Amino acid sequence: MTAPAGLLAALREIVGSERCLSRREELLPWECDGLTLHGSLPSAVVLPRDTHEVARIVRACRRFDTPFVPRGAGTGLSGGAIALDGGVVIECAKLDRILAIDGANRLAVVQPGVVNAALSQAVRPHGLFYAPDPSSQMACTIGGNVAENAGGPHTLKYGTTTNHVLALELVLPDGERLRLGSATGWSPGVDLVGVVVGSEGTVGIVTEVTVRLTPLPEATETLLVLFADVVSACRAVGAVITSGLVPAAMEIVDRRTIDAVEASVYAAGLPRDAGAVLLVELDGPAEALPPQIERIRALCAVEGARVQRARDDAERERFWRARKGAFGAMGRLAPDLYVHDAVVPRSRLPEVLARVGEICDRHRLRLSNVFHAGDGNLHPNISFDRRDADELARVVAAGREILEACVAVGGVISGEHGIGTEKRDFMGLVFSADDLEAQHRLRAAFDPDGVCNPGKILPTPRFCVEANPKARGYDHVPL
Amino acid sequence: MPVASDDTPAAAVGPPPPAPALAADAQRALRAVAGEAGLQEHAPIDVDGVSLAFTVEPPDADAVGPVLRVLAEHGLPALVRGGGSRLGLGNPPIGARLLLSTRALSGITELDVADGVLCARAGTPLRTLHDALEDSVWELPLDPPASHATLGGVLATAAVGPRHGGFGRPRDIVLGLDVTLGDGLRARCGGRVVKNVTGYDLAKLHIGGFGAFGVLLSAWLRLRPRPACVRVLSASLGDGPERWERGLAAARLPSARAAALIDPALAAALEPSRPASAGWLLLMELAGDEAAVARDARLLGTACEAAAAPRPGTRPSDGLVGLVASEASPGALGRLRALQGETFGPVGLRFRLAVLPDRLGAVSERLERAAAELLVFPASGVVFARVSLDLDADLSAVDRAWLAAREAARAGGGFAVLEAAPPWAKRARNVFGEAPATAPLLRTLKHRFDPAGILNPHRLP
Ligand SMILES: Cc1cc2nc3c(=O)[nH]c(=O)nc-3n(C[C@H](O)[C@H](O)[C@H](O)COP(=O)(O)OP(=O)(O)OC[C@H]3O[C@@H](n4cnc5c(N)ncnc54)[C@H](O)[C@@H]3O)c2cc1C
Repeated sequence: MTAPAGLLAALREIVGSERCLSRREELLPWECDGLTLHGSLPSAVVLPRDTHEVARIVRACRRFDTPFVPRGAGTGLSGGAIALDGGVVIECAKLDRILAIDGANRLAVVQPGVVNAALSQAVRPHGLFYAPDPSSQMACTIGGNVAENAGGPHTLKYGTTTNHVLALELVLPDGERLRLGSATGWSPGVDLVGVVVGSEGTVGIVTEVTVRLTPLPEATETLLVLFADVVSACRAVGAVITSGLVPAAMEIVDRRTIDAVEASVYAAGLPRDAGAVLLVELDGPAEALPPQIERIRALCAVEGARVQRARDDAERERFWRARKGAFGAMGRLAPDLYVHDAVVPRSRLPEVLARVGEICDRHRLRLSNVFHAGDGNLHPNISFDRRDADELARVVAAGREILEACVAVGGVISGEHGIGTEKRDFMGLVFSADDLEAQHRLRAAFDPDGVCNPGKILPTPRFCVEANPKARGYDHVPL
Repeated sequence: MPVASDDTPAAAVGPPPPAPALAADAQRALRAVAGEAGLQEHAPIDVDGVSLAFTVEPPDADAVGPVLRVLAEHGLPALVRGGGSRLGLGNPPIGARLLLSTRALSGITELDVADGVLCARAGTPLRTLHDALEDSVWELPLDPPASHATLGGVLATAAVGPRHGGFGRPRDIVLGLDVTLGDGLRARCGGRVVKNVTGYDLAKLHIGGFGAFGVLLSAWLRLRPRPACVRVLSASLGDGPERWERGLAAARLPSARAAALIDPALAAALEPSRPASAGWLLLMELAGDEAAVARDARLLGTACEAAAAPRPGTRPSDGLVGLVASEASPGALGRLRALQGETFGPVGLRFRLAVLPDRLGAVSERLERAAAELLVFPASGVVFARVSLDLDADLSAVDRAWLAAREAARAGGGFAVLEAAPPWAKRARNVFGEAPATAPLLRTLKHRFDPAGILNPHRLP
């Protein structure tokens, strides 16, 4: 679908023609996000540089009755940043300034296009860091993190994005600017910041974010624990959690992932004979950590595990490289990778993992698991080749069964990647029609005409998302 | 004689307005859905000058929707009542005609010890929840001042107690909610797992929503591991400007679960044996494993910097030099909690300010000029300021105090909320401050969730 000519002229007037793209070949990189299975070409892409431009772009879209979609780095894994129905993509990557760092009050004010890792790097001299650390942190933006309520390995101790956003500036779907929350982190009345975080770009465009910064831990210890199988690793995680310890992170990497990592540039020297690896990170006052390590050793020994302790920062980084590079390494297993995301009560992990394995076996699919075990947040990854139509159909069928299995034990269908277009039609697995009606009311209060990122999160029959046979891999994502 | 809620000073100017009666057909309709015993007439309860003589008490969660539909049909706005401990929070519920009690919605429906999560009905007293967890490895991270508060009331007002530094806030611990919206629609949001981005985070609208969008029925909560070691310490901070830096450094110690700075006058109420000349009091609760608590206690007592050898930029002991802390007297933390929730009489105002921690000095200076007594949580920038009024005080005295609180908050980069005041002082004022820029959006939300406007009318800005 092409943009109305008048709209293109209006957009060019706002941002100039270099920052307004509309030719088909120019638009291709915006056809999908990190979920390359879903694609839809926008009618135009605009790259504003400040809030004022964003507001004018939104008003122009409204004048020409054209929907619009905010976008960050496009690393999202649920199709949230694609424009359905010939919408305009408003990419916030050029709003990339850190506006203020206030070390004394442990906060920073940033534009939405600031890259997650760049923020932590910038505040390090103040002895602080930005705690939410998605594995995509070298590329993804704070705006995208806010929209998805992104998490990461250290969510276990530090919480997700919603625990670290103090205040926001939002351009509403009618083009008005609104400030929510306060730099103090408290709201005088209703917690509208909390409502906007995780709303996947459907209630407006975030143009400024005040974030909470966290003191760098005084000391960090990283343990690599080797288990015979994933189930015993999960049991050990449960034992650690109920013992009262709060590690900063507890991540499990299964056998097939270990093989892929060790055969890739992310190789970390993981033992090839381990059935599963549990990565445990502890942080806090230096003298508090040794007793914690001893407790964890004892709890893991019950499951017959071996514990290795990172001797220095270099070794710690090597351990983590194996975890964070897992998705990239999996590219070796097959041309395509489907990264699932679901959460179950942590104590149900062993049975759910068994069930997921059984589903993938039945569908003759290659499954590997690397996940945030401490939070019960699963990432079953399925390697496949989309050119094989039969395999693609099996991937889709297995995906639904996996989500159903998670919901059946009290789980939910997304822990950090969001619903987007990917899981929109599965929302009924978790919520009743009345539950969804309440969510619709929230959205409609912000966007009564349904122009801001339409077709996402809530099931609607109107928008059709196409499986995208052309886009491939994470080529356009600079990870 | 009207019965005052905890937070409502008894002395009001002039006689309370008469409680409005309920029409016979409305009473019949309510009894039809809530049961014969589900509608009670009683001595009028005064909430900020609004006199309420009826309470409807839905017998279970399923009955809440039908009750709300009857209220909408008959145009009867209701004030939702949990434990009744903090009914005076928010703007006066002008136009409310009766109370809607959640008392019958009580009890724990699930306690999952393996995962550290709990589900309880909204009318459950917090005390019941704490008791249920007494011997557990988990604890409930909620400690607001009101002794008979219910879970629903605490969540609706987003109330926190002295331990909010370590516990986090209600928004951080609620995993899922079951709610009946104003038009009777029953909707769940969130879930029972500790990480969840499945759909909109509607719980955030209800937590701190002052019951304006729906009646909370039950909540899934995330519990915290019970700490192995807890110590309550106190220290004198004197009257000098360095007290702010010291207090903040102490409050930011990793194991600090509660940390308050208390002005000399209030400190005397807290630690009766303490001379006022000792200046400001620092009261701290450290919690965690033995080694972490011992380390922080040492830093508080002796500021032995070399022993901690922290990395550059993360020196937790900066600012603590010279501090001498000792064990606080038994029950000190409980008295602090009570103090936080107290109004004092006969005529007083209580403000809650949220400011940036490094501006606490400037903020308190302004508040002290307005003769306020202060209780300060430095790490979170929360200040409770109490101002006594003369018995014959008039509105201009209230306005002077309000202005001082607002100016202090502005100087601190934050805001002030009027938490408690006599009804005559609250009327015609927005307790949340000036009409916020968000007011139109809030009105739209209110209209969508409670189209007939029957839930907690006028409470929000
Ligand atoms: C290899 C890999 C690993 C990953 N690991 C993790 C992980 O560990 N944890 C995790 O949570 N996620 C992870 N993700 C998913 C993804 O990186 C996150 O969802 C991230 O937050 C998306 O940020 P982005 O800037 O790329 O946003 P985009 O993909 O561009 O957009 C995501 C959503 O945000 C909206 N949006 C973007 N900017 C704005 C704005 N300014 N205002 C309003 N809405 C906006 C979009 O409309 C869209 O709905 C991973 C992705 C990849 C490819």
